[in-house]
Amino acid sequence: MVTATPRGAALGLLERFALQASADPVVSGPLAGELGADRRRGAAARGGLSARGPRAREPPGWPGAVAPLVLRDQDGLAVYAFLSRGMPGRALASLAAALHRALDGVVPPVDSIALRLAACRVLVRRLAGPGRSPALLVLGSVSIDRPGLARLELERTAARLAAVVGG
Amino acid sequence: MPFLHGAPLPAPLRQVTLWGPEMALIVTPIAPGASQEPSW
Repeated sequence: MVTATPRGAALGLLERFALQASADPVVSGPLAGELGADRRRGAAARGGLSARGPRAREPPGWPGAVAPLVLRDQDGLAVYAFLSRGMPGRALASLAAALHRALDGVVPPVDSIALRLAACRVLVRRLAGPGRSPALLVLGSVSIDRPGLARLELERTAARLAAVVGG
Repeated sequence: MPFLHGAPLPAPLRQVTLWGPEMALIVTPIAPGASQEPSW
């Protein structure tokens, strides 16, 4: 089911309506435990993502404690991930990179992507900047209730991170 | 559930929202067994 809305609409409400309309039985269920330890680490590593420095700092204002992770794949795409503890960082970074490549260049353009995976939300945004190597910011938390505010925080964090890493 | 490179998703995908400069697109998988006809 596809729902389109102008920017600035009550996105969280629309997302919940869409979940209800799709007869999703777990709209409000506590599913935080479904994202367990990263069992796919080996598979993701085989996909070419490897840890690299420098260590990133947790973004201020982000809901809940997060763990920073910096990865780079064989094509030079850097992924800066800030995820709630226990979320599978390598698998989510690999998924974010795959989505970014799939949507690169589409019209109209996609600035950022939000995923609901079980009870968690994962936000993906490209770090902009002329002349820089491609990079993604990935934020994930189990405690994101308001996607509009989360997007604002994503934009702020992307701007700060781009300044730090040379965006 | 395989994703773009054939690897399984780390958790069930319930919804994807694509944000653009002027609009957002919410993509929600229809639950297996649910009617695909609108109720209105």
